[in-house]
Amino acid sequence: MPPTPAQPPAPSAPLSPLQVSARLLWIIARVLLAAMCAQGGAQFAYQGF
Amino acid sequence: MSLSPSAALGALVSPSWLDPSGARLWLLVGGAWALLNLAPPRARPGALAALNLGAVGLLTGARGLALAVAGVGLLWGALALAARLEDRGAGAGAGAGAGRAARWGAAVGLVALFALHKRHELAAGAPALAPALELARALGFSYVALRALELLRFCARPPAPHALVGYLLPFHMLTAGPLLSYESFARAEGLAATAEEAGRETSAARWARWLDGGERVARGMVKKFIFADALAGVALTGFEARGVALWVEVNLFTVWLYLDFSAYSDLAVGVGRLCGLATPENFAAPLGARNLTEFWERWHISLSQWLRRHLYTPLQLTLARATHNRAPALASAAAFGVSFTLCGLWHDVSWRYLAWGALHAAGLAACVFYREWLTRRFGRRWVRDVYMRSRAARLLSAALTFEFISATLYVAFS
Repeated sequence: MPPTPAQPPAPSAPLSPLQVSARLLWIIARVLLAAMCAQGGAQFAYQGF
Repeated sequence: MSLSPSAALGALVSPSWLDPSGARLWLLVGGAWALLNLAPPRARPGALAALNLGAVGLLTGARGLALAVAGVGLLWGALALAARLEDRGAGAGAGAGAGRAARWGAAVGLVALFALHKRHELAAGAPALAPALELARALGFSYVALRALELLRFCARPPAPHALVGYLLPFHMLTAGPLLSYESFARAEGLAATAEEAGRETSAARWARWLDGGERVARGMVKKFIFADALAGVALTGFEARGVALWVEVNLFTVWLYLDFSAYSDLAVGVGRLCGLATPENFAAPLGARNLTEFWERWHISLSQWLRRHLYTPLQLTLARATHNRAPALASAAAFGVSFTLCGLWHDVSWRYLAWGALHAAGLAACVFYREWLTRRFGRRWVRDVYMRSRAARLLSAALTFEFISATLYVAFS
């Protein structure tokens, strides 16, 4: 019996508008929370290096 | 801590542009996203160049922008001169040699500038240079210099000016990397230049890219402004602790540096994904590495790859050829020695960073010799099937590696 040719991976199903909205909200919530914690601007260790 | 921004940098860079709790940073990111996603494919290169130069201007003002444009122009001139000399000498040795000399001359000039950038006191006799050196610092010249050296070595013809700006001064990787290889940049440029390619992205793929980018930005924000900043506030004293408390702080400092630096890279990768710009990954869970070799494959990956392309591999090959490959481990150790000593000096021209680089070189050489000894003593199969699969060996190795990294960071930063 000949070997079965490898199948290309199936493309992932597009997200529904509800899923997109939920992910967007989760992203925005985390960014807002982190931004509120950032006092006095961003100071990264390697900035201006 | 020599990696922290200087007071002078604070004066040069308008803090409001880098403040994530203010609106200006998000207007800049949102503007970049809109410009690069909505501009027609043909207008995109120009829009990107305007954005890159605009970011330089916003961060460092008109003087910083003028300096950046002059620097890009000089490099373009050096590349054009080298290419012209090489063309003239095609087939004959002299022209090619002159082209090579032009590239080497420009590289030596860059290294001299880099030394001045790291040690401002070397330019004490020329106070007029001081403002330019401060601006170079604000632009992250350490990274710009590595990109410029890569161009001098690998770029046969000077790229179009907008592409040169895009490679040297990418707005989202400006001050702290990651470092994109010129090969990857040119490949991405080639793809973006094809209008069909740019139009081939489906709406679903575009949304997936935007969401992925947003996820990375959110992850970086949380890592930096919640975890890293909290850890710094609670546990880091600038190494003033003593005894066991110092050991705890030294270990937590490593975790903090990882959180801080990988957060910056997350933000760069995320903004790159949002805007459709090629941006390399810079970290892959480095604190779980089982040895130093693996650590450097996972920490500041783009710098490790730069060192490998330009220092380690050419040196190792030269030494292996010169010794007829009789002592490959020794050739590797010597190549690590040179690469990491220079890597230490790239961070800072100081005894501390020289020691840091030399310790990492010694650690990497020890890894090579240890692996060779294990293989000779127990056989390749045992190393692969037993030693490498042992959970206890992995845990112990990872713990030792982490302690080594922490101790060397203490040497560099204390």
